[in-house]
Amino acid sequence: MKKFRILFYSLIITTVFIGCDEEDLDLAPISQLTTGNFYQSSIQIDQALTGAYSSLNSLYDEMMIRAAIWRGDNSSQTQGYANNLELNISQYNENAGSQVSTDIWNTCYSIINRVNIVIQKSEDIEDYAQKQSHIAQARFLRALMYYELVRHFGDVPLVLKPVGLEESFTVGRTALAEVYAFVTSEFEAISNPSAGLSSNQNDKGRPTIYSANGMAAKAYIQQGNYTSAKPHLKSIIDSGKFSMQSDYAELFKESNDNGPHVVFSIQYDKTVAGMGNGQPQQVPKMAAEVPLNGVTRKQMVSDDLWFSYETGDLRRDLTIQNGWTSTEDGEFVADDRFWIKYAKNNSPATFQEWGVDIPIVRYTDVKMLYAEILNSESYPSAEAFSILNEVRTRAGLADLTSTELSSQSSFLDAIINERRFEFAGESNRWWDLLRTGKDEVVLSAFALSAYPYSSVKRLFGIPEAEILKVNDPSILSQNPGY
Amino acid sequence: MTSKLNKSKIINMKQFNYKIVPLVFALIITNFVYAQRTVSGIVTDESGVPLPGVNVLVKGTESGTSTDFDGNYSIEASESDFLTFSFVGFLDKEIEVSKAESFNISLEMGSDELEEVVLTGYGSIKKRDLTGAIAQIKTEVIQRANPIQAAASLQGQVAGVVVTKTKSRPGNDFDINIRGLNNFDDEKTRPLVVVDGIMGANINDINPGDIQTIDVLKDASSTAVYGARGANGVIIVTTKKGASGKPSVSYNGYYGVKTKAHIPDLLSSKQFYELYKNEDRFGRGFTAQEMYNINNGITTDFLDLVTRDAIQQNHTISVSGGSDSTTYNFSAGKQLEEGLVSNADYGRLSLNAGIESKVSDKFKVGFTAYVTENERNWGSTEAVRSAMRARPTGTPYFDNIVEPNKRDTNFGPVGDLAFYMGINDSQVINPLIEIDPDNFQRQRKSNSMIANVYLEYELFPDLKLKTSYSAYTNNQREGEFRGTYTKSRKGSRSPIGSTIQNKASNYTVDNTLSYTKQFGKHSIDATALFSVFEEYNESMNIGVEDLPYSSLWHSLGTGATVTSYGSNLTDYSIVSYMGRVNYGFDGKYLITITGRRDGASQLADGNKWAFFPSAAIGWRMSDESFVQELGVFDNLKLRASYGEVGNNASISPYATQSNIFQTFYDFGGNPALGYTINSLANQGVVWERSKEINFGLDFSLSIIKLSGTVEYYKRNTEDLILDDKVPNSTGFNNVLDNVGEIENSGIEVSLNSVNLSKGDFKWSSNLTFTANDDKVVKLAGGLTEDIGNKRFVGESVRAYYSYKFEGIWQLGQEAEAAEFGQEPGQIRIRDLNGDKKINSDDRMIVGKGTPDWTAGLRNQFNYKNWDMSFFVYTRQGQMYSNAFLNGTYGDIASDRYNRSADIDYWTPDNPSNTYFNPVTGPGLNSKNESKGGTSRVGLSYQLADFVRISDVTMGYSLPSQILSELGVSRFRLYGQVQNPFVFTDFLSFDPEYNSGGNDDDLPALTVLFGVNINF
Repeated sequence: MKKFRILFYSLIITTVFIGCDEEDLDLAPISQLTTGNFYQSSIQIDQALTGAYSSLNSLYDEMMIRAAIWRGDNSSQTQGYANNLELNISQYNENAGSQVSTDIWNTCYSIINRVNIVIQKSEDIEDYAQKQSHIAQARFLRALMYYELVRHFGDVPLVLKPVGLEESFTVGRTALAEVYAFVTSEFEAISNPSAGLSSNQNDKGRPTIYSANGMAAKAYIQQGNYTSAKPHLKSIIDSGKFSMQSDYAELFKESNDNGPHVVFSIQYDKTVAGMGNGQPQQVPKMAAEVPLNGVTRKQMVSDDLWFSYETGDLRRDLTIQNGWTSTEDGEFVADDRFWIKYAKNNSPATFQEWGVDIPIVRYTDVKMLYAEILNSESYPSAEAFSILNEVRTRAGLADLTSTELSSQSSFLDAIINERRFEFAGESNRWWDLLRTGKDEVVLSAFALSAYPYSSVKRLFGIPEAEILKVNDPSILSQNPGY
Repeated sequence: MTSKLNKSKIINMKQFNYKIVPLVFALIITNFVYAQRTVSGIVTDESGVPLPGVNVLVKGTESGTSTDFDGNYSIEASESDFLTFSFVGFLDKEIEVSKAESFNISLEMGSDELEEVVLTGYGSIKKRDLTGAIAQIKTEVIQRANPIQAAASLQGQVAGVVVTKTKSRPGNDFDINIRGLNNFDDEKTRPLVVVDGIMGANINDINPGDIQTIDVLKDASSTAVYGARGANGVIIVTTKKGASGKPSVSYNGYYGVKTKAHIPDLLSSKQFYELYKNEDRFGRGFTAQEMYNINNGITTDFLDLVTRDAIQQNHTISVSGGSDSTTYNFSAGKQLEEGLVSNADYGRLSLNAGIESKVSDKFKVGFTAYVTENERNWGSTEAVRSAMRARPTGTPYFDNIVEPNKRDTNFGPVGDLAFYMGINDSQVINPLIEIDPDNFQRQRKSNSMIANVYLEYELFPDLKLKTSYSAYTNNQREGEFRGTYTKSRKGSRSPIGSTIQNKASNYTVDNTLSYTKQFGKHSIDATALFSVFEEYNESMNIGVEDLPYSSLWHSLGTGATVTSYGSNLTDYSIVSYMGRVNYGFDGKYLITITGRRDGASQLADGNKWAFFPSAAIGWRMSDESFVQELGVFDNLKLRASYGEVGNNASISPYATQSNIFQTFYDFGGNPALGYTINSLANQGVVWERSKEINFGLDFSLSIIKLSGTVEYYKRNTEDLILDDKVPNSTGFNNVLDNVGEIENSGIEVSLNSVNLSKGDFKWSSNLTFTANDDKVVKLAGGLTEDIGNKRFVGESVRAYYSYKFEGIWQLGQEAEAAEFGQEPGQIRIRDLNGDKKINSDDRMIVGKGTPDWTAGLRNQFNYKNWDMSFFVYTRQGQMYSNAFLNGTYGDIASDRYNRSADIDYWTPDNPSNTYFNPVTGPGLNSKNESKGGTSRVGLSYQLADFVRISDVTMGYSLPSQILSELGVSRFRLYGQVQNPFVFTDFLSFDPEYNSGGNDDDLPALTVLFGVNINF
């Protein structure tokens, strides 16, 4: 018996000093959050959702700008690029390994994954007041990412829940039409107030039902579907909650962020390190015209754009800096033009932290698209002319009438042309050219003979790294021309 | 020597066993048969030192005694009896009573190796019965060369272990690798260190003088008892324990002086000027003050200015003893090693206590505690580097500047020192300012405690249960203070102070059942273990700027700005079951089977538990008649083993969970806190697993006194955890996964011989030889080369991928050189693709950072009371990108820093094929010599082969007559020279490591005198 007592005591000692069972082996860190101890409450779902938003900052102040502006006719084909990689984009010579397209792909899928986790994990939590709203915001972000992916890459993998390690090697591309269908159906679904998005335009920074309507319309129009787009645009206009600013200079002031002229924008804040807008810093180094004088890259404006402005267009000098003074030697560098739209009238916290937001859907955009649709329905449309001239008046330009624009197609040309100046330095131009099929004519004329445009470049190549990782063309194929 | 003291402890333990023998009964029986007489005498070692505790036995009987404190013995024996004298560490001696001329016996050093016991982890085994690859060094070897860190004593003394110095700073740690590298990350290929049964303790916390044995478990069949922690080999450190008997007191101490040694000569100001006087070429030029020094033959030896002769000393006192049932030991030690660089030093205070008691026949308890306090003062990170960089034309003291320029006057004197030393370089500031403790101090202070308590109970005869509870804790505080005049503050920025506190602790509970039994020819020794291990690591840090007064890191609250702060905790736990059976048949055929099952918190559900099996066989051929008939071998044993073990270091805590990190997003001007997943969790990750086969041969010859061991092994470490690419539909680019493989194979030889033993003279040697070949077998994503990470299938784990240096373009090769835009005197780089251009396509594997082989040779000479020994160590085949040449300590391609005068520069009259012409620069890339990147990098990869006489030691032990008058049992005086000779072609401070970074000290030659006294 004594022997068993000894055994018994030694077991007690073991148990007392280190209570040992298999639960000891389930350790989650205290200093860090992990997937093991996060997503447990409604607050954490909200924080995870904010985590998904946070990557929008770098996506839209740098990557999307590179992809959309450098490729159009608003940006110089030769000047202002730090390296060949950047230059290749503007010269329609990028390959599938391009860092620009790879970054967009990676960031979009990173956000999609975060959103998918939010949606999945929120289902494990009991109902709470903002649950619908959280899920609807998550769906908005996901649809926005697929909208970006489908128009940049065409057919892309459509993943709607978190993808595991092994499964990821089997995920193939979904056809462009199907991805667009998903995008538009999602935006449409969450544009219904019952889905959970706010219908209050004052819910600053988060997507509202109007943001969803605006994106649904843009996604339809990108496919050339005016009919389906129209009711979404109309509902924004009819809400009465939005107005175009009367002064173009006010549109890009930090103080007017989230004003009634904005339907959806990416939010930047210069007071918190890492949350600022880096776009305005892309100016010549030591340009005295820009507070804190920029850094290295000069995103140069094309001569074609500069000389295309109508005389008296107020927007030109609010968008483009024509020449600059060096803080180094005081010399003025003439004929060197760069974007100043976001930097003008704003001041940064550091050279790369600006507070001004980047609009994705401006009310002006909504109205102009609406005018475009009205024009397609009947010519001449008084409402369409009225919208066009409202924009022109704000720009300090004379009205256009059916005398100058004597046909349906000349109105369309005029409004696309107007959009070029109205949205110069924003991302719309490249997409307008693609959706109207004007890209081949316009860009072939614009491109220097050494760097010709080819319609193959309407889509980026699927990032080479992804192709190599899956290493099976029957699952992940490459776009033509890459 | 303390070693002898311990031998006496061990023999007392043996003696203890005799207590159970009915001694009297035995005497009565023998009395009937033979006429008895009393035999008495004194037993000494070869130098006449009395040996207490020697076991004296009448052969073939149970009758025996042991020598007393002064070596005296007295025993009843008959004329026809044989007496045997045995003592651990000495060879047994036998005399026939009737023929003995004297009963004063001198025992010869040496031992019957086969009877020695090695530790196997959770148990021990006689070498005779060992089946795995385990090597042991004992206290004599560990202490012989007086290392400050015990790890140094393994260098060249254990085959298969490569020990490498990492810095010359006082008290610095050593790198230890057992049988090559199992991982690309050095931190993940370190052996498990077990101190007195406690895993994860630090070998550097232990005073080498307190160590009884260091056992090194090399092959996987041996380390399999440690399962998931065995992959990198295991080092078992055992401290000295008490033994029953009279109290034994010993003192070991030495005092020595370190002086700088083996430093390459540096250029004089004149030599420097002659090389770089062409200002148009080199740009920097010489200031008026420098010209003054050059013209007046003034050269400043900055290395000399920042260093001193330093002191190294050690004092260790120990007391041990005990009664029949209770034994104890206490020791206290203090070591001090000063740095050659002024104000740098290392000190350690160690206190050790142990007590063991047999409470009843079957019940035993024990407690040990080992407490250490370490203090490292490392001073400035820049002292040596700035001293190397400062041109010899510089002027350290402000008053000596006779031609001040603007830079000097603007700054004025700092104390009596010149900040920029009259040199035109804002990156090099006066190193004398760096070594001023008012300017720069760094200190790491730590306290550690290793404690163990155990209860052992004999449940049944042969079956023992042992419960042991161990705790290790280490509290460490680092502090750093940089004043305004340090290099990093450049005389204009305010002082900074910071501190980091770490607390590491772990707890182990081991329950062990052990069973030992002999049935006829069958012997079984079985062990079963249930063990729980938990470890916690906490840290806290704060850094501030703008300290108003010199408070080091002790008043950080006064700093105007807090620059950093934080705290962290990580923990992990392992639960284990282990079983081991040693089976022997007839003592000839030996089998060991081991299995360990470990469950670990680092791994994800479903993969937490892993099993690590091993098996080993041994064949004692020398017990076979056909071998005995040869008459050549005293011992001959063949061994073979296979085992699988895991690498616990390969997965950090929580690595199979996705971390969530903090982000922000702004909602209409209101910044909101967000959290987002920043890595893809791979729950499928398992331990890196090493699979190893080992073949061993142990032999000892009877014809000459030579014994040894030869081992061959091949180990494949599979499931290497590397970043693998993953499709972005997961949201991530890469994930940790088990994808790589590394192979190590090698040969180890250890030889022990008595070369000469004649009269009072004896010469013995121990040689170890270690050759390992490491290569990458598989990389992530099926790649054969990963240039970014410098990993190549088929090449060494530390492959160097660079430009191949092909010597110097010589006169007569003008046309060939011109094809590359070069001229004679410039560096020739191999044009791999023959395109007559040298660019990144011309890179290749130029060498590796692991040795081909290492060897250590220890020689020991004894003559009467004198002893002499020396140790030689060599390492071959390892390369470094020589920091002495590549810009860290001096850029040999520019006029910026001082450099060695030993560089064999090419000149038209000196067709050197090793270094370029400094006038034309190395060539390629740029005419600007400071930028000869490609070619200079190619030149810097050099073999760092060396042979070192690590120490020469000579001692004298007082003869026994004097000893008895002094009342001591041993008194040895000795002198030692450490690091007297280094033979190498590698131009550097110390070829053993790539000396030439910042934060280092200079190599030293140490002369010390010491004493070993036993009372």
